[in-house]
Amino acid sequence: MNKSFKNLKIGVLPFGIILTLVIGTVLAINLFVGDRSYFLTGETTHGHYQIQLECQSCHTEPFSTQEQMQTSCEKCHAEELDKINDSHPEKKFLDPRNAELTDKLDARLCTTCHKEHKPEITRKYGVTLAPDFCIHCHRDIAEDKPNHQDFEFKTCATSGCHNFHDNTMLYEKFLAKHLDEPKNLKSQQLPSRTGVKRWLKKHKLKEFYSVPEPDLNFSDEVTSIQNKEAFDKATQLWRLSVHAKTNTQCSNCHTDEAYPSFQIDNIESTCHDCHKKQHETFIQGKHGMRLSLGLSPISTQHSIKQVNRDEFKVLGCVSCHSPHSVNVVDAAVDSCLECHQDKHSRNYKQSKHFELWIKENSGDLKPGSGVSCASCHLPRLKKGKRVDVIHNQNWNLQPNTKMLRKVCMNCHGLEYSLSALSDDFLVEKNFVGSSNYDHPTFKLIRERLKKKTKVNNP
Amino acid sequence: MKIKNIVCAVAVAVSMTASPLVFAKDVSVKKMADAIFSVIEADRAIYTKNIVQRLQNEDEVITADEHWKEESALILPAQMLRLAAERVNEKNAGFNYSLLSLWAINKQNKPRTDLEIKALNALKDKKENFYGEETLGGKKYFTAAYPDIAVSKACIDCHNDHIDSPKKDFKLGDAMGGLVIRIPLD
Repeated sequence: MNKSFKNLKIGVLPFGIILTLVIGTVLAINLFVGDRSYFLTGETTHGHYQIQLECQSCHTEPFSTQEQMQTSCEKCHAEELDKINDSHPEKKFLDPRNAELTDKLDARLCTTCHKEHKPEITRKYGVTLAPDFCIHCHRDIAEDKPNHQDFEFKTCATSGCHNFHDNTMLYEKFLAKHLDEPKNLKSQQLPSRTGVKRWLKKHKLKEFYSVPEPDLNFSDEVTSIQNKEAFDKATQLWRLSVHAKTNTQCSNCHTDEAYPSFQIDNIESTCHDCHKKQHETFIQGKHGMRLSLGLSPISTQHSIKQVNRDEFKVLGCVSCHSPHSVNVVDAAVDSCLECHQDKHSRNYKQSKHFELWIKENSGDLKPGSGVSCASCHLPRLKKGKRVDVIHNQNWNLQPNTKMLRKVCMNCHGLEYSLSALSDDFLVEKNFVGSSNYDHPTFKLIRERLKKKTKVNNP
Repeated sequence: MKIKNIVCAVAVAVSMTASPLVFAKDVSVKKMADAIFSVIEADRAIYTKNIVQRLQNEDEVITADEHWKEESALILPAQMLRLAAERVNEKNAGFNYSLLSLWAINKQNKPRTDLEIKALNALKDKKENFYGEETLGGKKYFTAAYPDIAVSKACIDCHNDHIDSPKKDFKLGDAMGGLVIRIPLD
């Protein structure tokens, strides 16, 4: 009996060693040669899945400390948080008088609220705390604001109420200034792009150049163009483009110092020589973030969103902006809908916004009257005299009230806009119909302003 | 005899090394807090009187506003102090400070720790500095509180008129709150 047990032990030992070696080898191959997918501890959120196998972009060390992880978060997100005047910045919690609060909920660290690879507890905006987390620090809110006593803590972050980071839409003067605005404003127009105007000014021109001849002739020596038909089509589209009018020649995109003979077929790398701001914001957003880490661009196969996977599409400048026509009209709607197939996207062509977009592009309405996908998600932001198209959709995507000031209120009154953004069903229908939702924010602000008038004019 | 000498020598050595510690704890830390306060108070008074009071209340060329970025306005004096305090926090400069009041407009600036409550109540009546020690988050701190006196009309007008202000009868020279400075002792 004892002997057979001993024999069994002797037999199991080498098996155990071999099994450990096999598992170790498989893991090592996956880690050092493979795609590292065996080391993913759980599904990654919509904001990070694009770079989930580039572990070291967040985990800078094999066993990163919380401080190192915080540095990684700030590397990508600090600038945006500063821009929106973050309501809960880390520096607010460094005072020791907050020690009791940070013991309950350490708001100095992003990972306290946003734990990655935890799909089972991840809610909207990648938050992994229970919806009533505000209670930890604001338990006594009803004492200071009695009109909040009927609200439950899980409703604090309702769209149009409070956000943890960006509360610019709740600034009292802003709300007071725009109360009682009509549904549709008198002037309904998005700011006009200023890139072409700025180009003319920079080159001291009043009008564009007359269309020149392309500086490339079809010849067999040119390896990137397969046949005469393709060459003619490309140059024909180019002749009608803004690139031709600005004398941006074939050589500007298809050659560089290393490849002087038109060998550059994929022109992606040359776009940002001229379109710096667009490139800069593109690689900050979900579409281009892989490029910022030197990875291959995202494709329809990578995406976890509801996209069309029937056609393999790699996302870069030329996938949306046809490289020779550089058509911004196509780029603003058709390019988006080629991939995005969710309900909101599919409903766009039934919307009033699309109707206006068609009228604008047929010349029936003045420029800036229509609303494309890009109008809302890659908005035109005005700063001084300059208007830039922001290619980082994160800036005004979630929470959707970020869109209010930059987009909606170019055409609509505040109350109407906020009620629409807070109505999930209406958002899904792409604003086909109208919202009957009376947002509680406006009841509260009206009461407050009334009280303020009484205090100042007793 | 030999042992006695050794004991004496050890006692002298301990007292010599211990006395600077006592000095550092009881005198230097207090002096340091007083010096920090004098700089903060001077900057604050100059900003309030020469910038906000002059440009907003007298010359009426620009307003001071809570949402100064949005309104292209001046930073409120209390915000100026808070932003500087946050910058000091970020630099891990070896001390922290905050402006607190029993009648704070922003309720996050009401006294929170036992010592803050005691200090603010003492400052309210006596307008004298308050010193003490407290333990926060497992760390021991020397805590000094100094009365925050209304130095200009801009201070009292803003607080008396503000909808969220719990006290609306401040006068020039009143202690509107206190500046609390903390220096870690561990």
